[in-house]
Amino acid sequence: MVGQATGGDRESFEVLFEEHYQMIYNLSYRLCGNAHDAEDLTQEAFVKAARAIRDFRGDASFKSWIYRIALNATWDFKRKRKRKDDAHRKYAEETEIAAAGCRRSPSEIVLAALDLLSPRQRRVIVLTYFEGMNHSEAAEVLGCAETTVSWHVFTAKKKLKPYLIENGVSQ
Amino acid sequence: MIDGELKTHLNRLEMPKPSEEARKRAFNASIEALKTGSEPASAKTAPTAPIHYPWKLAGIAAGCAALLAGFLLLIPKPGAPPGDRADPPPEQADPYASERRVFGELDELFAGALAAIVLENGESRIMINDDPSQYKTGRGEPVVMRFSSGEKAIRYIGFSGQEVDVELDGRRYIFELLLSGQDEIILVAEDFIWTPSQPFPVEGVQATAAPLKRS
Repeated sequence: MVGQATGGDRESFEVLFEEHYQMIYNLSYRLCGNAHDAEDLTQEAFVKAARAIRDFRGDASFKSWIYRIALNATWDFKRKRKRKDDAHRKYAEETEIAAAGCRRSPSEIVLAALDLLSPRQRRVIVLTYFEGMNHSEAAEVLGCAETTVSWHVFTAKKKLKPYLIENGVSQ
Repeated sequence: MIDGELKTHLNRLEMPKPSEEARKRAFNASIEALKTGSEPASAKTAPTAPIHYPWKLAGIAAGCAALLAGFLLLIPKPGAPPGDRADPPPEQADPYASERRVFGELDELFAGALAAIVLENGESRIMINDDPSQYKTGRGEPVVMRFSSGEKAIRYIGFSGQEVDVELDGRRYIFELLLSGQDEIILVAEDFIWTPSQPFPVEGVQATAAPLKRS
């Protein structure tokens, strides 16, 4: 199927799109935390994949390949949005203090916990804990050493666990 | 909180459904792109964004020295999948490619505080300088050494001028690791001096060594 798609076959690409759309959307949402942005990023990832598929050589799996494209798209997006995000985070911190008495859902707490992570930490947590990859698979997708993935997972957990416990998501 | 619990809690993140409209829009845009087929550079390969580690030196060293003492990592496999690229596996061109890669990434990660990495039988140990004044300026040139004895294989990535402490064939050895002006590595032990051009003087132990940045 992938082989036919690399030749520009529309039907084969359509099957790949259907098989991977939800997965890439989930990945994008977990990385950016916003449904509309995730839709846009998913579209961007598929457009880039469609443009580049003729050069896909199959050394990595199609899944790893499109994951990389989606991660790149999210990375670029977050870099461009960083200034805006910083202002948003500051506002969120201020309002969080004001809204301390309000009860947040576990899902909101998990999103806030993911926001505490650096982009690299967030990517390895999303790939390993949400997407179920082992460290070696995540390293292949991220293009780094397995040791580096292990280290980022370790440091991310140091941030996530206390936050989730403090905010009662573990109870 | 154990790992299984963390996974359970993280998976309480609710996933909104993408709208059908967004899905159709994405599909149409991709089919259009498939027809035109021009390729943006960023889609070709692995993530290409520059790596910046916003770590603060002082914060890392003090906290991490103790933290890392027992931290075990998975050893990177020398033949790790190269991803979607046409280059030959780095091992073919560079026998120390995996060590070079681990060193490069961890040295950047620890912002110059890295003292040594020991990779032994599938596990690794990282040593960090706990004195910020020693960061980078207190280190010599990076060097990689490989020791093997029977089933045991040790890869040590450190810096010239260090004392290296390894256990080989049931015996503990402490070497001083030196790099000459001609980039020749010299290991000075209590009862022998070794250079990579000679057989290792301990029976049953094979060793190789090379400057990491120049080999």
